Amino acid sequence: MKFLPTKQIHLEELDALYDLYLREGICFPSYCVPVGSYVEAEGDIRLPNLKFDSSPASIRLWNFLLSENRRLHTARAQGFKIVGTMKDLGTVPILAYAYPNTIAFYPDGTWWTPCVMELSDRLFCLADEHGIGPHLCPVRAMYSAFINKEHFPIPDQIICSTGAVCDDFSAISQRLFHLGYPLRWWEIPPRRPPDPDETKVELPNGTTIPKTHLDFVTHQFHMIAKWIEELHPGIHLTKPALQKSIHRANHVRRLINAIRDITFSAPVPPIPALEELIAEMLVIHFCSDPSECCEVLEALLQTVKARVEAGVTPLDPIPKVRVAVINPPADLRMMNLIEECGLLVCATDYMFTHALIEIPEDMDPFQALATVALCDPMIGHPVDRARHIAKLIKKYQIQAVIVFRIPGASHSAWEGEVIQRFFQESYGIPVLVVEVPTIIDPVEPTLKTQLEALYEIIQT
Amino acid sequence: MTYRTESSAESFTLYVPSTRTAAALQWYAAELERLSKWLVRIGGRKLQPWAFAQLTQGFNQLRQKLDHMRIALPASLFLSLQPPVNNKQPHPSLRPQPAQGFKTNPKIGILMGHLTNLHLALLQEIESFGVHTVFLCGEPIPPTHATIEVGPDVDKSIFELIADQWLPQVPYLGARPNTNFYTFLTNEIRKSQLDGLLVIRPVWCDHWDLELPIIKQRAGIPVSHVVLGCEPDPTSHALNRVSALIEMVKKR
Repeated sequence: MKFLPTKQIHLEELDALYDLYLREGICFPSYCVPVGSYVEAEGDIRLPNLKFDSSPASIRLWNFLLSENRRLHTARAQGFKIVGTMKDLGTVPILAYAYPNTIAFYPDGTWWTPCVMELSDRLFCLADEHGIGPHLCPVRAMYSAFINKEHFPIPDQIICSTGAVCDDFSAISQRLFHLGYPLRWWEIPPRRPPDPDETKVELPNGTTIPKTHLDFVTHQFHMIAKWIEELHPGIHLTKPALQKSIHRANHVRRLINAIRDITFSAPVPPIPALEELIAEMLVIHFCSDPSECCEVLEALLQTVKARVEAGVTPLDPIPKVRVAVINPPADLRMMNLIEECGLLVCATDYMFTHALIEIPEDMDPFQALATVALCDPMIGHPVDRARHIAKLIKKYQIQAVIVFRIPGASHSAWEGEVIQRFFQESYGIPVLVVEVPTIIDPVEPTLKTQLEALYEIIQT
Repeated sequence: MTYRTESSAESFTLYVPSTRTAAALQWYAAELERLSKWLVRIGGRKLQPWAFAQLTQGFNQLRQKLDHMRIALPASLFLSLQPPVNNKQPHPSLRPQPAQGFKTNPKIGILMGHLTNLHLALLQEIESFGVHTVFLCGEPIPPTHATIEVGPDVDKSIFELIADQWLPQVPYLGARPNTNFYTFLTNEIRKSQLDGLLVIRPVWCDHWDLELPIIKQRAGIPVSHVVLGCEPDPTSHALNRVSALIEMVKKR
């Protein structure tokens, strides 16, 4: 095919394009199908309300994301051990993937299922029936998925972080334990600066912490390794095996960072914010297939590079105001809406910025994992998150910050206000804090007004 | 999680681990040591092991007495002895002397998050129905049943002693897993021969909120709950719920 269309299109058009790509001889992996088929097959009825990037790489990306549950069930049928990792977003899976025939995934990811299925999954209703109501984070959908068993296969082992985590998440994990699931907790302490008499260490993100924190979390990773070993009698994790897993994780991180950097610095965005968000999400557990994850990201990176070289963008009109986004939106449609309101996403903190940091490969691998786990934006003060974005202001010419509040999430109660104050006092940058529900349709006009007001403020 | 204070006064945030593994307890001991250094830095005296042993012995005796009082006294009277109670600004409906329950009357255990004068006022109202309330546990009240044993030739530091002996005894709902809380609860229900349980839940507390169905499941006696903290004076609403509990308990 001589010419690949570069545009943002609706699902029907994307499926037509998929057929055209096939006819033109473009190859897709065997799991790929028209993205629209997930509407019927999986009940993903939100998809027709989204706008998609037209590239073959994007079609592959969406397929990879939407087929994850099938992939997990297939792995279970093939005798793979499945480790459910919860809350730490990005570190424990690397440890799990160091073991043979093991797949790790975050059941937390189910928080988007009610959005993708437009509540037809009834996961929230089931959670309500169990006393886990809408005053909690949409991650409560995960609890229901453990009960109705209609989504992911029940993991052989569940490893959840606790300590410096959201209260609602911690309480939900305890309820899963009460149900009898094989859940174990490891502890991550809140990040703090060292006292004057404490030995300090510097983390890969430049933060300084007491060495005792690092030692403690390193110990926790050794403990987790022993738990995973229970699934593999006779197998002891070797350092080279863990180093190999880290090396592969770093490859994924480098690919995503390259996509991010090129996208955020380009004069016109080579891919829409929605696809950039999906690509970033892959970093936390490689969407249950690390090898294919690399392939998917490499294809997307090629598209990004080619478009930047050609100076083309799928967005029409091209958004003008450059914004940083903090927190993932509960409704994916929000990413389309931002761009429709003239805002261009050019920096992100989707709660797992630590998973984008390259893991040191020149130190003890357990300690290396601990160093990045301690960079988790969610275990520190919200100002740490604001500072992370602030470092990128010049690089990506950020003009405003949008904080997506997640309904009911403990961290969302006050962080928006703290971040808002930080940017207004230190940088004079406007910050918009908006709560994004699981389905934005009923409040879309209000959200649109808020986003457009931000656009107008910057433009004037 | 706890955010650092934004006030200008010097402050210390003590991290209490959620898990109770050996490593977590060791970590807590280190946190206590850090706290002691900070206290010295702001003008306190360094705690010597002999002084600690003496203090601990005194506290153990005091806690034993308190534990007897906790079970024998109506909850409002017991709790009014606790430091968090603001005696300078009593709640308007607080009476000088709380009503006493009778032994033949229903005995209701009280579980709660934090303690305010509003809680005391509510408890007094409940006790005025002739209910014997027994305080079980609440977040700011140290567990009265717990003791720390300091041996004469113990090698451990005082911080390790506190961490190893104290923390595992605290029936904390937010511990992961919180098995210890339920062991405590079932023991207390049996020991105090409770007829019912009242959970006074702090508003927006996810830990209490999500554990309520489990508490109801495991208590084996009628359980009711009220939420305090969202309205200026919610006692009348709370009392309606409590009356229903009392009626249910009396019918048993």
